Amino acid sequence: MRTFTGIFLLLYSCFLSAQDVQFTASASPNILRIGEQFNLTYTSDQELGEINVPEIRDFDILGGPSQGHSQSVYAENGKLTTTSTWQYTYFFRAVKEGKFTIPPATAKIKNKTFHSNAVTVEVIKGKDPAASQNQNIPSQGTSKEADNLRDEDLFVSLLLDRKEVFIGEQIMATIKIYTRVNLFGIDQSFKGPDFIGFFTEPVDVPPLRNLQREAVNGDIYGTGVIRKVVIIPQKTGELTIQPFELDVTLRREVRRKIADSFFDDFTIPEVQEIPVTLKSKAVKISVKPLPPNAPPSFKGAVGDFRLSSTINKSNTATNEPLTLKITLSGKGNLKLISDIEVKVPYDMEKYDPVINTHLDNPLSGSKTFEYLIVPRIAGNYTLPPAEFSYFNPESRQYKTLKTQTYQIDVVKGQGDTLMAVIPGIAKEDVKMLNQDIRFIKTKTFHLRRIDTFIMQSPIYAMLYVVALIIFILILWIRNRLKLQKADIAGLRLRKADKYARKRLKKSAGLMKQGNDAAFYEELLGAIWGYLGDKLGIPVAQLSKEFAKSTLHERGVNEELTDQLFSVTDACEMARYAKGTGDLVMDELYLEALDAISRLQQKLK
Amino acid sequence: MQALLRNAKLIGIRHLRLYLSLITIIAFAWQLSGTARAAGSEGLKVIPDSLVSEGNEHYLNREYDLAVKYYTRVIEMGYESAELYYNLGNAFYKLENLSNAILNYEKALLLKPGDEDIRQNLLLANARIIDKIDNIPDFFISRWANSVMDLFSPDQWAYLALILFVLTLALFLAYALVNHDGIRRMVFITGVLVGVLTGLSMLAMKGRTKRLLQSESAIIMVTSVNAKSSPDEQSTNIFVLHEGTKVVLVDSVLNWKEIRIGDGNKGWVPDEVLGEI
Repeated sequence: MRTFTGIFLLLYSCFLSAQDVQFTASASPNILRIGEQFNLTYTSDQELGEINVPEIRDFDILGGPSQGHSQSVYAENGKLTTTSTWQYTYFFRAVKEGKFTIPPATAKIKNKTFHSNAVTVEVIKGKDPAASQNQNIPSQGTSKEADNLRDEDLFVSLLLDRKEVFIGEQIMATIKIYTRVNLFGIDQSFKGPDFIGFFTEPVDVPPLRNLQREAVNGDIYGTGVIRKVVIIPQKTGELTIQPFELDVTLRREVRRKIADSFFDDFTIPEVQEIPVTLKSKAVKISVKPLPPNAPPSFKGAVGDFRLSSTINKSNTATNEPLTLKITLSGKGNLKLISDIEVKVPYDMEKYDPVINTHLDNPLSGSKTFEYLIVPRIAGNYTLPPAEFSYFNPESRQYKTLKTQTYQIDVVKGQGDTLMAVIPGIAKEDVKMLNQDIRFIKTKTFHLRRIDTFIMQSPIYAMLYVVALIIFILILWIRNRLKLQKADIAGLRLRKADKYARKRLKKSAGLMKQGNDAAFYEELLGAIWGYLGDKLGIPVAQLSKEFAKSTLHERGVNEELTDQLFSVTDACEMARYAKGTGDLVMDELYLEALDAISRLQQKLK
Repeated sequence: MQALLRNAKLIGIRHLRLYLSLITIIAFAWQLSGTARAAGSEGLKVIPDSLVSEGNEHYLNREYDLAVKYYTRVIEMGYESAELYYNLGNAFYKLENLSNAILNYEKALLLKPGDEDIRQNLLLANARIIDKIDNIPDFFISRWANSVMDLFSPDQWAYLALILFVLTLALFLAYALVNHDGIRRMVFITGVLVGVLTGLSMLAMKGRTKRLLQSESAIIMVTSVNAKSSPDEQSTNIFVLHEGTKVVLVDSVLNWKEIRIGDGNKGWVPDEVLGEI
C-alpha cells in the first residue's frame, strides 16, 4: 500500500511544478504561560525528504518529530480529488518570558530546497492557573459561587478604534468578552449598550464559538467578539457611553461533600451552571466640532471620498429621459449622506434619485445616486457639475469634489410638435431663480459737497432781489413814460386858451393892417388849434363833424357849437370870396373871441 | 412837442440798455463765481472720483471690505451722492452688515427718493432684519406732500422756484403793460397761479433741505437695545429693538434720544446705538 502511494506520488509529482509545494510552519498555541507546552508543526502536501529544523534554544524540547500523514479523497463534479498532508510535529515547553521568533525551516523535496515561514511564539509570565483554581474550590455550599469570581477572571469591555474624533466621523465599537474561567454560554438576546448621541450601524459578526487566546494584562485570556457596531457621533463635546450589562453562564465543577453515617465523608464531582451578570465600564469619547470654514455644498460628510459620474447619453430628444449616475465611494459615514445636489437647466425636469448603498466593509463602500432627467425644450444645454464636499479628519480640511460637466444636445421630440401648435402653452413666466441685491452704480456720477445747497448761497437770494429790482425798474420806467405823455397833453390843455388868444390878438393886428387873407387864416388857426389842444386831437385829424360830436359828448350845447362853426364857415367863405368888408371881419373876430371864451368856461 | 416825445422815448431806451447791461453783468458774475467754485474744488475733486472708481473695482473683485474703505474715504472728504451711498450700502450688504447697509440705503434714498434700485435693495435688506414693525400709514395729505416734495432734489427745487418767481414777475409786468382787457385778465390769473406755485416750490425746497440737514430718523446699529421709559439707565425697559430697524427721532436729552417706532410706540435709547440718516 505504502509503496503504491509512493509510486503514485512519484508519478504525480513529475507533473507537479516546484512552486506548488506547500511547506508551512505553525505553533499552537502561540501565546502561552511559562511552563506550558506548545506544538510546532510543519505541514506539507508533499512527502518531505529531509527536514532541517533550526536550532531552538529558547524552549525546552520535549519530543518529536512525530510524523503524520493523512489523505483525503473527495469527488467534485464527478472528478476525484486527492489531498495528502504530511505533518512533522515537535513538542516544546516554554521556559522564559518573551516574544520569540522561530526562523524558517528548510526541507528538501526532490533535490529542491524549500523554506517554511517563520513562527512567532509569545510567552508571558502568567499567573498560576492553579492558584485561581484553588480559590474557586468552594468551602461550603453553592450559593456563594458567583462571589468567588474575581473581576479579572471574566469581564466584558467596549473597545473603540479611536477616542478623539470629529463630529460625523466613524468609530468602530467592538464588544469583547475576556475570560480565564470556563464560559458556557452568552445571552443571545444581548443588543449592546445605548449609544446616546450617536448614529449606530450594527455590523454582522459570526456567532461566537471558539475563544481566541490573547495576552491581556500579563495573562492569557480566552477572548471573543460579541458585537461590532459602527457609531457616528451626532453632537460635540465629551460623550459617554453608559455601562451595559451582559448575562453569561459559567460551568464549574464542584465537589459536594456527602455526609453519611455508615461511610466516611466523601465528595462527588458535580458540574454546575452559574449565571453571572457582567457590567462594563463607561467609555468616554471626545467629539470635536468641525472647523467653521465649511464650503456651501458641505452637508456633514466626514471621511475620505471619491466622486465619479456617468451619463447614459448626451444626445436626446425632448421628453426622452437621461440617466445621470453619480457614484460616491470611499471611507466615511456613507449611510448619512442622503443626497448629492444636482442642478439641471430650468427647461429640464429632475426626479428624485434612486439611491443604492453598497458597503465593502463596515467603514467604507460606495453609494450611487441615479437621477432621471427629462428635457422639456429642445436646445443645447450644459449640465453643471454636481458638487460634494466632505471633511477629511486626517488632514483636518474640507475638500470639494466635482463631477464633470455634460453637454447635452436636445432635439425636438415627436410629442413636442403637438404642444408647440397650441398657442400659449409654450409661453412661460420668467422664473426668478434667486434674490439678490441689485448691482452697484458704476456710471460716473456727480459728487456734491455734503450739506451744501444752492438755497443757502447768497447769490441765490441775490437773484431774487435782482429779479425784483428789474421788475420794479421796468414798472417805474413805464410810469415815467406815461407821466410824460400825460404832461404834454396837460400842457396843451392848459395853454390852449392862451395860445388861442394870442392868435386872435395877432389876427386883430392883421385886420388893422388890412391883410384880409392872413386875418381869416389866423382866425381859423386859432379856433382849430384851440379845439385840437382842448380835445387832445392833432389838428390835421380834426374834422367839423368829429369836433362837433366830441364837443357834444363833453356837454357843450348846440348853440355854442353853432356859433363857433358859423365863425369858421364865415371865415372859410371869406377866404375864398374876398372883400366882405371890415365890419364882417370885426364881427367875426368878436364872435370867435366870445365863442372861445365861453368854450373855455365849459371845457375847464 | 414831437421832439419832446422822441426825447422821452430815448430816455426809456437808454434806461433799457442800462438794465440789459446790468443783467449781463450779474449773469457774468454768477457764471464767474460758478467757475471759480469749480476751479477751487478741481484739485480735490480728481481724488474722490478716482476713489469711487477704485471702490467699484474692489466691489467687482468681491473685496467688499476694501470697497467700503474707499467709499467711506470719499464721504469723509466731504462728498456725497445717492449713488455713493447706494454702492456703500451694497458693499455693507455683501459683508452681511445689515444695519450699515440699511443706513446707507436710507441716506441714498433721501438724496434720490425716486430711485428704483435703491428702493429694491432697501426692501431686500429690510426683509432680513429681525424686527417687523407694522407702520402706521401716514396721513394721506402728508403722503402726497412728501411724494410731491420727493420729485426733485433741493437744488432742483431751488432752480424751479427761481424760474417760477421770474415768470410771476414777468406775468405781472405783462399785466401792467398790456392794454387789452381780455389778455390782462388772463395774464393776471396765470400770474397769481404761478405765484402760488412759486411759493409751494419754495416750501418744498425748504422742506427737503431741512430733511437733509437735520436727521429725522435713525437706524439701530447694535444687535439689540432696550428702549427705556426715560433717559436714564435705571428706568423701565419698554421694548427691545434689533439691528437695522428704522426709528423716528423725536427728542433728545443729553446723550439720550427719544425715538418713535413704526407702530407709534416711543422710548429712550442712548445716542451711540443709533446711526442717524
